[in-house]
Amino acid sequence: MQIHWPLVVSTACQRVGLGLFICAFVMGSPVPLAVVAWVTLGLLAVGGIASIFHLQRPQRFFNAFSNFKSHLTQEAFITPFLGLALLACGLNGVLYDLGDATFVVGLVAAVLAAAFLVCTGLAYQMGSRPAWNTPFVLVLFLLTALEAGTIGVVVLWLVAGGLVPVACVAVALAATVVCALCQAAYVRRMRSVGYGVNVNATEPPYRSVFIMWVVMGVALPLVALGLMFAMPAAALVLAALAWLSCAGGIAAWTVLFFKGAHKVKLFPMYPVDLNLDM
Amino acid sequence: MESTSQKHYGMVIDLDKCTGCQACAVACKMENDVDLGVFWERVYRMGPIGQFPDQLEMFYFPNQCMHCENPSCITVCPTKATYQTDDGIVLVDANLCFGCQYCIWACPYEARTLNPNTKTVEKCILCVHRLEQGEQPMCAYTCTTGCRVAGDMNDPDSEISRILAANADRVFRVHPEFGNQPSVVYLLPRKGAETLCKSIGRS
Repeated sequence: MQIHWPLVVSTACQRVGLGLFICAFVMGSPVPLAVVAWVTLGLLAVGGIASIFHLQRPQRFFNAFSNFKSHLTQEAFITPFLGLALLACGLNGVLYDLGDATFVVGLVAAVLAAAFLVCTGLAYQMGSRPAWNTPFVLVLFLLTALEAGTIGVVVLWLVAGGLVPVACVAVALAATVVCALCQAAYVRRMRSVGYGVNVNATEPPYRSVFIMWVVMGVALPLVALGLMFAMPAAALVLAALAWLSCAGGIAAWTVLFFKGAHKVKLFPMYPVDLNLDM
Repeated sequence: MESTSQKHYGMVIDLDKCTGCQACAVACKMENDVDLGVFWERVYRMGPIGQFPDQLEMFYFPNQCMHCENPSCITVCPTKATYQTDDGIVLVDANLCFGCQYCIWACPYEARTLNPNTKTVEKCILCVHRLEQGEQPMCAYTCTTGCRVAGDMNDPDSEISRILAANADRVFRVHPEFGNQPSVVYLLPRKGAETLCKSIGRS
């Protein structure tokens, strides 16, 4: 399958941004949630602009709200509410003080963020692409967001100037390990999806992006997070490196995700078959 | 007495008759003014595999929109540009399509193309304008071997229903496991597709 770069950028930004907000809300944020909301809004804006470039006729964007059975429509429908909820969080303490309602607004934004990620994950889960025809797709969309989010919370603690709770780093490490294991299982599954479209990610043309994912998405974040215990003076740099590397790893993973998602062949038992993979 | 049952248009393609002449693909482009680089209809050669003379397999496979009864393209289309008529034909409203290509990804049959000129998705329309006039789609009209017949699959007296009934042992739908229930039905070749027949449990 062709790599749809705008979608690589948009889904990576969504997962990093929304994962950060959800994790900061659930795990507790050392900086005001309003700041986190603005970071998330910024990443969502970048992702949204990127996804517009994917559309061939972006001026018809508002047609996207037509079919509620489509996960893309569901995603589009959630977007304005999510944006408003994040904006409400972002302006809290600047234009107004929500007081006790801060938690409720944050909760609404977090739930909408999770719903958005679920819709995106489900959108890619389709039978015509054997590599994507698995609940792994949804699980991985959520796990990658969790990985980026937990590492992001570690960065927030360090930016706020405080000591990072060990449990917080442990959760980030655990999320990274679990996510990497799931991704490895997905890669292994791709080798035997049938329909003549099995993919061995360790061989060309997938090899380079596979290595990029292993380095950026698994090795660097784990090493950087681990080194924080040995080199506390460089903790902020290491955590930031882990977060950026994790974001790059998500992008590399998404490229592999697209490259490996070939369409079923009609008659895989014959050497000459349709060669129109789009 | 007038029949009250709903029409359901479909097509049968006898792979035993297709010679791969591509006349259908050309006729489709001319009839529907399909742009260069865009195809609503293609004919592929499957094979050859096996050893000459007795185990050699090869056949031609015309491919187009299957006008599924349960089309995944309609489910995923966020704009409702893709829709199904009451008589089962799946169409695309080019004025609504914004070119997200989600339908192209979701279709298991490689039936859809993004037109780089109009920047919308296109596919076979089963020549609905001809069917409404009681004529065959241009691909079927032009076919040199008469391997294609379109018509109302709900009408037991229609030509397509008679062909399907007479060749029940050869009726074959591509990838039925996806649940799309294609309305374009194939008749398996009597010879030259033994591997395919074996894979779907036919002798």
